[in-house]
Amino acid sequence: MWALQGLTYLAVLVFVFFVARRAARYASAPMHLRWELYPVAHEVDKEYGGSFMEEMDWWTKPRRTSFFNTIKAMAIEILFVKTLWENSRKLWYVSYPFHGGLYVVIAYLALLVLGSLVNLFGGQVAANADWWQAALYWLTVLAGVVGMVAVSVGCLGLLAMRTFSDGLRRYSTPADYFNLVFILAVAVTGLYGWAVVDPGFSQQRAFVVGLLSLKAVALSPIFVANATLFALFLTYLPFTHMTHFVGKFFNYHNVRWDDTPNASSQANQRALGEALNKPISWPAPHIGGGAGQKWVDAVTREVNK
Amino acid sequence: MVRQPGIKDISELSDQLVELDPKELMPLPYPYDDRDTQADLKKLTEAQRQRLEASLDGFTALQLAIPKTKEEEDEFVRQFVTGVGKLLSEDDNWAFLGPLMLRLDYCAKCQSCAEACQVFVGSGRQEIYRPNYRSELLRRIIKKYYSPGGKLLAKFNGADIDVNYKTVARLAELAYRCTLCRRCAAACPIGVGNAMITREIRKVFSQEMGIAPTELHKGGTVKHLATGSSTGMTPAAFADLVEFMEDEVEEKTGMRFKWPIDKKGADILLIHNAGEFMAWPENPEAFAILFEKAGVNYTLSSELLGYDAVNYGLWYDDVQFAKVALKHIAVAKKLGVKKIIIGECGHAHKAITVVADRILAGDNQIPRESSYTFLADLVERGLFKLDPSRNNFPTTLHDPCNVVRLMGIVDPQRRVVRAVTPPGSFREMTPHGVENYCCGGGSGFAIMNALNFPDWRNAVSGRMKFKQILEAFGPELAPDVLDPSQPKYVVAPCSNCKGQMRGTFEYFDATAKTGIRYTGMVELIVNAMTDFEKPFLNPEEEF
Ligand code: SF4
Ligand code: SF4
Repeated sequence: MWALQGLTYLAVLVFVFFVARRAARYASAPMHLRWELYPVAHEVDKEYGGSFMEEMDWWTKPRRTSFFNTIKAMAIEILFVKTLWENSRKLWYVSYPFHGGLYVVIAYLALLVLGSLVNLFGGQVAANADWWQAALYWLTVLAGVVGMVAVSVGCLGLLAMRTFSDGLRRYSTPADYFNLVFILAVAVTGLYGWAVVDPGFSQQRAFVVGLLSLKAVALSPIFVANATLFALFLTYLPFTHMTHFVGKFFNYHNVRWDDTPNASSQANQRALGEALNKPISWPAPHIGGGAGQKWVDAVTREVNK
Repeated sequence: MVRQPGIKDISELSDQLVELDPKELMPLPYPYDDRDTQADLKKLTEAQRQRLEASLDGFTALQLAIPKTKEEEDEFVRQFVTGVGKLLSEDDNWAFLGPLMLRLDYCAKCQSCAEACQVFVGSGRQEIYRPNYRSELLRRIIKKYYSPGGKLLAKFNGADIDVNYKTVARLAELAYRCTLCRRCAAACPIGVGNAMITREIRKVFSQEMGIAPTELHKGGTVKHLATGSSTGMTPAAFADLVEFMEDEVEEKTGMRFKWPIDKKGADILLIHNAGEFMAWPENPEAFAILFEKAGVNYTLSSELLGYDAVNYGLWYDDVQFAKVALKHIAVAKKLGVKKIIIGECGHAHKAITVVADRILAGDNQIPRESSYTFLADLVERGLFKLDPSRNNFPTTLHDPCNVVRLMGIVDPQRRVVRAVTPPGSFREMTPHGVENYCCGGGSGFAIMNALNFPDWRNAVSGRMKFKQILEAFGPELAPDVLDPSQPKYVVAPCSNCKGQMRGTFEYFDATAKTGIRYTGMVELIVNAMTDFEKPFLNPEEEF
């Protein structure tokens, strides 16, 4: 199974590299102008969506922000997809099993890795082992099955919504359906393997042990299919909008909740200096200053008159 | 049934993609609940149709001339595509590139934003106004021209669209069918939203092609920078108007005092939307009365731009935006004030306080404060003798998106309105605060009055707010409250929102049919003051 193992290493590398590259791209974008949207999570005692700008002479007072409030808002959003619940309830009923299922599948993968480490260090992950190893065994099975069932149900629901709901169908591209079918295939092959071949996901664990210890491992055909699909999916994922977990993070932290006033940010003031010295090539008559024009010229020419 | 075009239909060669039917628009409550008697939507004349681009929905915000030759059409498309490329440039679009990339990359097309949009819902869910329709068009154009293998990939994944003259011309108009209210962004589970995309499209037309609605550009920012005000008011005319308002204040209240203009050593520069001086002088008058009574050390400015807080660049052009904001700051700097207070103008609030914040470095960082916050403090410090029963009519409060959802100033205006109205007379709209609906005149619409655009704005984008207002005073809450002989007020502390309400109320003949009127917030405070015999608000006044 070296080929499959090689593919998996590659998939993990591609995934990590390209997701990190995406994040780096957003993190290194030039400073943008403020475009916040209230409620902003880190505000204190402003549950109704208020801001520091509600206070008289706010710039003379210490800024109060709450990291706890930010974490709380994030946790609720991540764990329950609250915005969707509030704005698109029908979709939430299928999207939540899907996303919730993905979280559980991620937990399952983490438990597989943990179990593999236990194996590598001489322990045994099995129903009849020590209590904690047995617990690890059952937890893995539970997370695997619940996660994959939820993902499958969610995928089917999302496919149905994309097919039968007018608004969704109109804007769905073949790629959107393909993505869902792809994920469904990964989940269903995993479930099938569990139901028919290996009720303890022992082969999967053995495969991870092989990956961690650089040893070749044999898998039954259904798990070969499952692992291959999974690796291919992981390779494909970073190039799609399904990496919206990255986008969401930046959208919330760098745009919606980024209300740092410039007066208190030396970094932003420096960034402004750089930005104003950038060239500008928009040619409309009210801007056009010809080649070599900089932003600072374009925006101050009339003002300084 | 109005036709519901799909995304690829944008490039079809027909004369008009969609024809709106007033009967298909979102139903309104009593007394507008009879679908068969809906007001008409004005159509362009045949001669105008021959000349002007209106192939989206029969309305025109831009009054683009239809190209005469195929070459002109191709050039139009070429320029647009070139401009779109500049949106992706770290140099040409540093100010918005980061957030724009996120908006381009991550829409899941879940449509949660659609039901949040007052234009889409108000139009009776007309597809072309779906927030995502416009955004998806820009995404597909960018994919096609600016992503590696884009043309091939687009074909493969079914996302190809034909980018011809009609596509671009309709997109230009479509960029002026969204009020930039950002209600959709708040509903987006990924935080994407559509307003910025709309604004970026407007930027391409303005910054690359010199195309923008006359009212925003030529008669807007350009006039603002040249004459001092987008109304065309010169410093001399401003001084005359102030004299006139001083007289009017005396007439109404018996108070005679000089308004401070260009006063050196003032702590505060108060800056109004100059439209107020012309259309609603009672608003700056009320400010003057309150500041005089409270002994505020402030000044108005008669410098170019110093008496007009508007910044239309906020809606369509980064360069014009920056020019106006920097000029405002320069005026304040010259006066040496400690802070700028923005009168009742929502977009002016956001422009100078929030969006311009990061273009103001060093000594350009003069603090900017909302008049709502400042007034709440004056009222709560007990500086005015108030008798709320003088405002003995039902009131509701409109939240300007720019101040509320986009600046988080939600509570001070409520504290003021509650303090100056009798218990039980103030009712909130549903929803309100950060979840408010736009008045329908956002992003410039309230001042765009050419040809048949006002009908679209009043009937479609303003429809949801009108419905909310009717419901706030509506029969469910108090059976007789929509009786036209009972005056009732929408407090709208924003010039553009008032402009929109003036338009909607006229279009629906609302004051005659329901007794609903609008007012600014300061007028309501002055109306509650016991210092004056006569009421300051006059419900009989023409709106
Ligand atoms: S903008 Fe947001 S809410 Fe609207 S379709 Fe895209 S992801 Fe969904
Ligand atoms: S910004 Fe407002 S008007 Fe524009 S699409 Fe979003 S909700 Fe609709």
